Amino acid sequence: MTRRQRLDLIRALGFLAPNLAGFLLFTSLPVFFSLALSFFQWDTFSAPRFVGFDNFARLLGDPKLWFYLYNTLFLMMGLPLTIAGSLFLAVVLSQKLRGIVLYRTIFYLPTVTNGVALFLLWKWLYNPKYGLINSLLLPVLTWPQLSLVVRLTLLAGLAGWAWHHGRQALAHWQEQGQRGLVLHASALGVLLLVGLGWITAGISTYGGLVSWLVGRFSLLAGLNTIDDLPNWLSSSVDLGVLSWLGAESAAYWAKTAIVIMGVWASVGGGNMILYLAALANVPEELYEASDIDGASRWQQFCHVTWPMIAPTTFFILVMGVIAGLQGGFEIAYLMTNGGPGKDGDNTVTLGYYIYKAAFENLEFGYAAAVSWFMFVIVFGLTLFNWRFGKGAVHS
Amino acid sequence: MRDLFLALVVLALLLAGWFALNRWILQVYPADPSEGGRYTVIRWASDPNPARNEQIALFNRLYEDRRVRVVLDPSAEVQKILTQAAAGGGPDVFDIYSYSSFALYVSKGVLLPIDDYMGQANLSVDDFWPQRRNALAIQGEGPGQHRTYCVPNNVTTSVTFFNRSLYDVVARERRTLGMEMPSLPWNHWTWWDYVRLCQALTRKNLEGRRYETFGSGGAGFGGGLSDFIYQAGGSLLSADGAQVLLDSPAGQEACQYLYDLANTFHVAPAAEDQSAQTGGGGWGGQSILGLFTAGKLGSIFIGRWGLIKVRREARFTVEIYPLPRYVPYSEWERWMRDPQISGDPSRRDGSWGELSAETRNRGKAAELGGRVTGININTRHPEEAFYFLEYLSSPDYNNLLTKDADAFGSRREFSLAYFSRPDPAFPEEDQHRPALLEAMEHTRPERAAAYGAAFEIARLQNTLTTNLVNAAYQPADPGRTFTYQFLGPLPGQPLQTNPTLGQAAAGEMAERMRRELEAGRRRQALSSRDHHLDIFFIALLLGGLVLGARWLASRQGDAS
Repeated sequence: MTRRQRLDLIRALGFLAPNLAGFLLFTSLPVFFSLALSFFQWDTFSAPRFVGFDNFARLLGDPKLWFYLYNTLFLMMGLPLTIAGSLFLAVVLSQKLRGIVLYRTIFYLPTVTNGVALFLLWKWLYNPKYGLINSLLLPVLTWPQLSLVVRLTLLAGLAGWAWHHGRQALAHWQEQGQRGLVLHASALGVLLLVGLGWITAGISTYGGLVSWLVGRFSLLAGLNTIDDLPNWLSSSVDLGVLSWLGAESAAYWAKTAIVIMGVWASVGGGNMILYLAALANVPEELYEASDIDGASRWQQFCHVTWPMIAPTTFFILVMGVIAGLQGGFEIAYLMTNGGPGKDGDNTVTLGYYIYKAAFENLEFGYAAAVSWFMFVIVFGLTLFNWRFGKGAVHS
Repeated sequence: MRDLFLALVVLALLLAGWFALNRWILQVYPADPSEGGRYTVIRWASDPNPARNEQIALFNRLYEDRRVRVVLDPSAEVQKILTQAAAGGGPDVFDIYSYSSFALYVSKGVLLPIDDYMGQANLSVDDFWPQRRNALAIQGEGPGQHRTYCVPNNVTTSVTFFNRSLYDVVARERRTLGMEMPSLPWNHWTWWDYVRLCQALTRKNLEGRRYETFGSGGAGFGGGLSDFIYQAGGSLLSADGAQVLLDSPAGQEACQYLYDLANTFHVAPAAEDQSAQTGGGGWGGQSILGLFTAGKLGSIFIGRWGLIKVRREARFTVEIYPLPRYVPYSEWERWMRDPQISGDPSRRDGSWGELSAETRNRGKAAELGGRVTGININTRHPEEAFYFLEYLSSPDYNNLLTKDADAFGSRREFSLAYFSRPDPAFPEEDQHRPALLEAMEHTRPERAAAYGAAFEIARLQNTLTTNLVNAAYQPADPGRTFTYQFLGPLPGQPLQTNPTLGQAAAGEMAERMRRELEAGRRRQALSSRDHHLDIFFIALLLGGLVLGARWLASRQGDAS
């Protein structure tokens, strides 16, 4: 190494030093410390005690851990909705509209607003007896004709679908002969029968088993006063899967409520900005070429836009999965305090569990073990995304 | 080299400029309370109650000649203080809000024993409210094992805050409709009277689909469920905290009552509104108290400290009564059948009656709450920190606190002295005094679960309350019902409930609490397994990881 090179190296290191020191001190060191800590029992007040694999053994037998993992995954259900919403917004906001900057700012606003303020705002919106959401839902859901309107809409949709499908079936018949027609007709017949039965059962005062089934499977049955609407963040009726299908208004809404809020808060955020940038980078020639080929707007979106922005979608997906697995702490801490539920932990996520173990129960060793468990899951899922997601991205 | 040097100089100049801008031009740094080391500064972790400013100002005035000043640290969250203390720091003195927290601090060695200072200041644990003594000192086994750690800051217990203006409005409405109005609360009123009154004060809008007001705030602040269990003659936990007693008959009745308030009688709002955790928006922000001061509730159970917000915000007349006392459900039926009993409170005799002096106090109880204040073991000024504790025990502080309505002062005699004469500043509150004093006489000390499970058990207790209000339990025996004939919204219209619901809820939750207690006990018992072999496996694992990473890296290298 010449003197010149050595000087360059020293200079480079000098400029890197602040960042490097910060990284070593506040990231690397804690990471290794937490790995070591996961083999100890430590309450920060007495000396750490080596317990070998005890923390990990306890972790694998901890039924709560798996429940919190489920909670975490449940809250991540918002991710596809967020991606779809962000893309939709980005497509709309990339049009040449008057005052587009204002719209973009408005949709980005939740992202720059303090999270705590948003959580408290939504807590009031979700208030079961005085909140805005239930107040608005009440007149809609208790409107006596609502059920009829919903069913008629569905009936119209079904009829349209049957018309479309029937025409296709006819075309198939002309091509393939009788076998195709029988297959199509029977599928169509079963679907129509079930659909019509469900829809008309609510309209007529048809008694017996059918109407009982309809009652069980209708979320709108038996709504009368504000007491029948969901309690949102404090809903805690544990009836299992049935509560989703039945009309139990108080069932399981807490996690769903958080998902709805999360989607609202992040649809217009960084993802939208990323998509806007990606859309701007799609070459104009491709659209022109597809125009010449006679592609519709929808076909253009499916065959030009979507493949061209796939790398961005992939990036958003990977980052979203990582953030989702680590997240949920602030929301649960501020909005539900981990509750509701029989054990008051229906919204506790893995991140929250680590906080609880460390700072509420003062079990830092166990908390470290849980965080390494979480790391393994995040790492595994990211590898999975990388391995199988890459194939879907056209490069 | 010169570039680097130049860069560093520019950076240093920038930082110095930034500091100078803040320090002398924008003046963003607060004034130095020690005035350059002339005063010893004591940091007090408490809550941002507006009354703290005056309390601190008085201390600073009184201890001016000893050159001690107190500054407020506006959060005394247990996690925060424990973390700071573990790192060898933290506030000099801090408030402790529950007996569970006190026990936790003591077990972690965060509190400084203050016996010597107490002796020098001529103070003793016996100077304070007798019910409060459990959260001040730890009674050791042998001689010399007794340690005092705290003095009370304030003491409080739940009473009923009653919206008298709403009562008057409803009474007028009902009179024009020719309906009977239940009588006002009084010192010996019962759960039964409470429900009847709350039913009248619960009003829906014209279509009957939304609530305008609720008669009751439900469990609300303070013990809530604990109060009800104490009243019914039981308790949630044994005195040593090692046993769960929730599923006793008393616990079952208390659960049933809480359930019925929200779901049978529909006189209390949703669990979310009843929760004390509704917080946010600063001290006393959006909470059940906020609903009350907004005029949405006919009554809430809360400590005298609720008056701080009521004085500032309530635009209606508030009256204070003791908590309604317990009367067994089995007695309700008899009362309802006998119009002489149900119609005229003064005629309620019999085993749960009103007339005899011996029985009128049956079923009265409430849990004692409030803050105690202790000294951080890490403080560098223990002597000056104790001045603050001495101040908390002084008549000056007691009077200021009682006058500010921050519940009751730490010493009984000073509180009694304040309550013995009218306060000209708050003439409308004179009538509250007997009820408040009466409530204090019936308080029981708090209990906390043993084995470090106190927080989990307290959380489960809140969960139980939420789930009762949300009707999350199934009755143990679906066939049984109980009809409240005269408690229906209209006379003759019955209300039905299933009394085994309370039994099921209490049983289910007691089981969960026991499991939590057992888990805590197991955690405290150290694992006896030999861990020497684990070291070998950990070394093997780490070695494998390093080798694997190197192999991967080499493969990547080959590929490129």
